[in-house]
Amino acid sequence: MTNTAATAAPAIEHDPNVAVRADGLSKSFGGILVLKNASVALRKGEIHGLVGENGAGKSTLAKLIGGVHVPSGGHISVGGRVTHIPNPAAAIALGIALIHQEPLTFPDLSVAENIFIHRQPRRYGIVDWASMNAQAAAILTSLGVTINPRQKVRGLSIADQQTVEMAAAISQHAKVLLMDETTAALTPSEVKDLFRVMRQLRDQGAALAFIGHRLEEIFDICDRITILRDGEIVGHKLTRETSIDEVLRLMVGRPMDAMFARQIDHKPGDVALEVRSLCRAGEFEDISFNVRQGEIVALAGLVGAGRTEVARAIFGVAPAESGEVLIAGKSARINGPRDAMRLGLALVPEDRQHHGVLMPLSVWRNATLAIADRLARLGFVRDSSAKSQTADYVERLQVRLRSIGQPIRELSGGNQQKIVLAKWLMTKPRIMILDEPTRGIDIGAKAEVHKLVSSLAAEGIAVLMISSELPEVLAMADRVLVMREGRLTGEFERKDATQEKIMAAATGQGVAAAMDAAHRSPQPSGASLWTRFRELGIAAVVVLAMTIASCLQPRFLSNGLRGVLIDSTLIAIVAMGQMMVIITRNIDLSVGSTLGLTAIVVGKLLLDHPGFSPIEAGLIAVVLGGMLGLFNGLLVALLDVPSIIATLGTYTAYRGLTFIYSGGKQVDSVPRWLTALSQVPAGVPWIVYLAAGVAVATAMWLGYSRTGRDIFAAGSNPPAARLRGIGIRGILMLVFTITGALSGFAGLLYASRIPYVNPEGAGKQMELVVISAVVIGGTNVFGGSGSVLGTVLGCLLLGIINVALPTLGVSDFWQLAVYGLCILVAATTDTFIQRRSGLAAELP
Amino acid sequence: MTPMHPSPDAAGPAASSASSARGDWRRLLASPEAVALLLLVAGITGGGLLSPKYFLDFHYLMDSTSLYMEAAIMALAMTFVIISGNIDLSVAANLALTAVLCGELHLRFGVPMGLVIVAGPCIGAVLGLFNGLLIARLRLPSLTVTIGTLALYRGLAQVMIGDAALQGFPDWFNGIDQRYVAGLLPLPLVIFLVLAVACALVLHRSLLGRFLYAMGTNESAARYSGVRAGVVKVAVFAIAGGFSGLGAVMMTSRLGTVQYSLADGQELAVITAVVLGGTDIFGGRGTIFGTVVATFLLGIISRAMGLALWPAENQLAVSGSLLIFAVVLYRLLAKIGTTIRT
Repeated sequence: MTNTAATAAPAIEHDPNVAVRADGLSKSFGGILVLKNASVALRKGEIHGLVGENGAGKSTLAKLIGGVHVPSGGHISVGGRVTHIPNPAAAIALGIALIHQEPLTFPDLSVAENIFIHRQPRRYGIVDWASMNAQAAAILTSLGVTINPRQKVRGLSIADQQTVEMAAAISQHAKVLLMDETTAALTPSEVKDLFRVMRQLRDQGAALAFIGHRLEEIFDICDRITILRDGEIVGHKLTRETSIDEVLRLMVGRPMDAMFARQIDHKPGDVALEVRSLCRAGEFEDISFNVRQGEIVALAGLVGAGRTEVARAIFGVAPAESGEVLIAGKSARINGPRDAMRLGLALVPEDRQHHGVLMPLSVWRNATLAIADRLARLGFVRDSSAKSQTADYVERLQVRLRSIGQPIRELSGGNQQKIVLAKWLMTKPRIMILDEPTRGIDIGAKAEVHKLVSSLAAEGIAVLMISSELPEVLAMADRVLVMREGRLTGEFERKDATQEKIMAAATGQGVAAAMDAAHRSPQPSGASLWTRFRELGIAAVVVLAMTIASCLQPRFLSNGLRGVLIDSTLIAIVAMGQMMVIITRNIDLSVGSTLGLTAIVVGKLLLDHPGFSPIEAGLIAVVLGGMLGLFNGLLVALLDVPSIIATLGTYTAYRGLTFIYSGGKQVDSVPRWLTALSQVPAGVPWIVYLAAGVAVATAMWLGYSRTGRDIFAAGSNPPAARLRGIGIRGILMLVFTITGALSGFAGLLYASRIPYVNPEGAGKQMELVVISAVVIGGTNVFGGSGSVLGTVLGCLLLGIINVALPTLGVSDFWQLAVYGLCILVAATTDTFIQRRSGLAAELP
Repeated sequence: MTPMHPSPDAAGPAASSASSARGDWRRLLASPEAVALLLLVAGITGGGLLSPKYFLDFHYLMDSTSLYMEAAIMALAMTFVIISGNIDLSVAANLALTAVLCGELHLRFGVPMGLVIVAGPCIGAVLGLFNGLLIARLRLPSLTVTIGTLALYRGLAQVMIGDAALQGFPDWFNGIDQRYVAGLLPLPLVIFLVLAVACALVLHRSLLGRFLYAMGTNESAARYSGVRAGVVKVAVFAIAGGFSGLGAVMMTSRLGTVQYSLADGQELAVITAVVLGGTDIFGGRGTIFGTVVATFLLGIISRAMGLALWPAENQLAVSGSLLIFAVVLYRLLAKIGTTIRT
């Protein structure tokens, strides 16, 4: 099916000005042809616009050139040579970079690292941070932006993140940049900045392709325009030789005014919905408007103006921080969608895929989700009434499907949207908020949706319709409200509204720079501050605990400390591995069992063959542990078993193997050199030096090697990591193998502390201690970040608690409960504080 | 991406429903539940052939179930939890702590045993509620929270009674596995089966069940559609806790004693049963039927190992491997299933 195109193409005379040429490209997904016979040439020193409606194929074309998809037919030539581009990494190697609308960046890494990940400059084989930061600063300056290369990307505005992506592309010597709908989420001033950067790149000889929806932008920035419609190219024009009208006509294929014409023959009734002075920091400010029964009020503006946020606030998904919402004249407290629904509100969300439908579920289950409780009697649903209601609406809305039992993902976008509408219509709403109701659906379905919305208004429903498509706005609305950068900037009656007026209000000059500044959030370098502070915090607690302990038990510092150090060392060695595993968004519950198994195996080996030298024994322990860890890695990376399950299984299986191997008996008398590890030369047991060495080595590796940095990238944003050529599977296998090896090593050392190895007790509950230490140490439970120093401090703290408890007269039995408390408290405080300062990851 | 061709409704309703019916049968046969059922039948047959003296003895089979009915009951609740897209590693620790608390209530504070029996599930539910609140309110991952409570609850149990074994429960309370319903079925088994039916009704027929599946499939879309995700999460963890509490009462009666180490490590058996029964660990898919079949399957395997005189510890190796095997197998089946469909 795919055209692995190294098939020689007929020799086309190569125009040296053409950087990339596509010839007869076609692409089908699952039997559906989305692009047909597309030929286009991207020239150096030129910005080439690709326009078309949703589903026209422009994004697919860009993705084919960018290596995200492989063509089903046709071929691509780079620099005159026909080339096969199997993946984005190959495209980058050819100098082709795809910039996405939703930037694929690593939130937990710095700007400089985002640019250079997996290719960091090195000196003597280790990552040269200074050089990397300097080079990043240079690139950013050349793009004319002021972003600190050292700050973490989390917290940067979308515009800045896109700039970072572009900087990354430039650093990889990209000569062809494909910008896929990159302005959709930008404010006008950010768009201006972006265009300045693009022009700079063009003047330096790059070939740029720009996909956009806003024709004004296209005509502003592009030298050449290619128009697509329904998967085919219908026109190539030089910008100066054409007009917006002509391009529109080619895009739509029919004259502008053949859109659905709404017949309005009723007067709006009372005010159904009113909002007063709604505010939400960073999103919108001072929003006041009303919608009457039977009225369609359109909320127009550019993407990013804050309209969806207002809708979400009214519906209770993310309530406003101040202001009032009145339903039928009465002030309403809406804290969640349920409250809104009870008051007669309905919201058809913008993002159908993530917020509108549940893809694997059947059509009727989707359709009746919102009224599930109304259909239920005594808490039990009645499928029959759900199905019959669904069938009713399917007929009424003319939804094309095979059966209402089929999974909704099999329906086309337009039909899915109709089911979403049906879902909300079933709730018999009095007020409907439609957010981009016709986005991503074909022309025919669009007209049907418009007809439906119109009839809803005729029945007396108050409709608030958010739309970025001006023709739709003009055709449907009784009144048009315009938002820009979080504020209302215009209101027009139907008879007065024109495209120019709306666009002017949507893009108006010189409005509050305040909102712009909010968009361009000056990133709290609080992120790195918090990490430093956190480690200081733990260190302080450690010191405090030691002080208390030595006050109560004067011998603590001499005797107790040694015990603390030894206890902590085993934990610390294993914790290094667990930390890495958690950074990659996984978990390893089998570390304790691995430790126990290696302890028994090596113990018995040394017993039966006392001739083994320490080095040999060490090697055996590490290799054995490594293999046990590798097995976990294979399960997780190659067989896609979730790590919680895989390591839960091996946690038990390895423990079982321990019993089998030892025959249930413990291993006595370990060789002297082993017990000597806990002896004290110069006050500090050898074992502590070993653990310190492991910690330092880990810190060096994670901080200064490309693979080490790849681990953070893999945890911070796995899809982005893949796109950059980081082999996630390899990383996962490596991380689990290392963890196993470290556990094995710890297993050997375990035998040094006590003269016998007990198959049941060896390493028991070690996984809990280790996870506690890692979480206390500040490693993010969601993955992507962690520090060796923090983890070591966490181990120390737990070691102190271990030793201090009996000193304080608290029974040993508290150990387990304390570990549990530590995990809960640490995770809770971290998340709490991070959420407060806006540093935490976005949640659904 | 809008497809260029219209939706396939050209096939006509009759033809399409016939072909979809055939497809349904194939999907049913390739489902994990069918595989589990097959394995169960194979297991009983195999056991019957290898050791007919025991396996074909109805009473023996019945009696042997009592050993794992507490885990089975916890597996029912765990099915709910996993379908909703979460996980609860603290169920066994919850059982232990609840048992300790109940034991203390009766033995130290003299609370009548009848009251304690009622209090058990309630205490367990409160402990589960704690999980639910942390997970729903603070939006912490359920894995992290329940690892923490796994340690905390068992730790508290240990703190409360240390190494001691509480004894001295009333005679009428002890020996739940010696009671038979209709002279035939052990009481624990009957309790389990009744609960299984109730859970199946709730999961497949009730509003709560609908919401659990929705949340496990796509939590944000569920929220946008008015599902109160926070409430559902708290509820499901409270239910899991309640079932653990019930298990605590049952296990105490069966063993006649309470130790902090009750049900040690049983979270693994519980999760294995759920996953083996075909519930998708990522949520959104699963049945009570599958869990029930898998529970008995695990029980048969355990009995077989016992009859072969394998020490209990060795069985650990098998249980761990079984979990991995089950997950891998079902992933492969799912991949094959999707290729059949397209």
